[in-house]
Amino acid sequence: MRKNRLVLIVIMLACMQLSFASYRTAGYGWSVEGTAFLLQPAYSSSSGALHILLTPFDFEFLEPAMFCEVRFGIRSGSPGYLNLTAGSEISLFRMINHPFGFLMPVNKTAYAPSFSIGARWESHDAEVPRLYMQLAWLRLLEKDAWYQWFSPFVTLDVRSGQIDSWGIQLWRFSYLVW
Amino acid sequence: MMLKRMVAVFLLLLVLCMPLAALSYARDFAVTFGHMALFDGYQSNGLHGYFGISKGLTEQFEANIFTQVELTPSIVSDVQIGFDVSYSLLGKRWDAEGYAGSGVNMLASAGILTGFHNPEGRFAIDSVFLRLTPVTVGTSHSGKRDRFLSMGLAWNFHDKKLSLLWNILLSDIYITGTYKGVAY
Repeated sequence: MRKNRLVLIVIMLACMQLSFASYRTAGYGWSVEGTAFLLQPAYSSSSGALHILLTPFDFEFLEPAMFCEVRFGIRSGSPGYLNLTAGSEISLFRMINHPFGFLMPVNKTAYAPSFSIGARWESHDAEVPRLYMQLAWLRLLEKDAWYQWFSPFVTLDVRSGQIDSWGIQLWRFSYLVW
Repeated sequence: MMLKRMVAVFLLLLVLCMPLAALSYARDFAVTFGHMALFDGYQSNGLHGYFGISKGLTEQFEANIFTQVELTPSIVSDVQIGFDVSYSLLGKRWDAEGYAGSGVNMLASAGILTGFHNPEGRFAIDSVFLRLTPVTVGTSHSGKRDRFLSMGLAWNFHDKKLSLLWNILLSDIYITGTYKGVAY
């Protein structure tokens, strides 16, 4: 399992090196979230994460970006590694004239809500990944940075088909530096 | 009942701040949101959000009224309302001439927290706190200020216990006092 994760990270890093587009197509970022487990409330946590991001396309609609995220936080009073998530976030559309410009008043931004889907390996049960889905309804794009706030998400246990956990990502900032 | 009392306290703090605001000559006013955590044994493992308002009083003093709300695992199951006064340690945070203050600053804050963080679980003043924000970036002039890695100590009256509190990031979005309202 650990080997698979390492391979995934290496592939993403290699892809970043292979991106020849004139615009910046890869980067990294950080986020803060809280997670509530429905069947195992003791695993509920607050956490911070680091992620890498690859966005090789420049579509106006349904632009996909791939991400891999490692999360650390506090669970049952103890800090530690919580989970790893890999997936794709899809910008549904981009809108230049929008009412949320006050959130990033210095630079011009585009409003671009996104839907993310991926797999999440929880540290307390890494055998089978959860299906991870997130809706970033408040997401702004600058030329070289992406910002999102108050994004709800759920994870599904693929064995039972039930919702395993839900949560709120308070913010997620990504910086496209490569 | 509890909700009514919390709303009443929030309104009371707001009313108490009005004379301060009226006496103030700083024109900046902001809404604030971000993260908070208080390790006093009453908060759960979940995520707490910070939502408030910030009013400039002078070039270096400002007042904040805020609520600290549990978002996960149980939305609004823990709520605290607080008030603090902050002082900018690295110079002006706002300027009477309408120009930006120091774009990078530090804040020292002192305030109170009210809520249910007491053994009886009744709504009361819980704690007094001191908080240091080592870095703020931005000013009211630019329309936004981010406060990074605030850390402080809260003294709970009921438990006679000192606890760590911290905010990873608080963002102030300025409604008034920005460059848009300045005539050059």
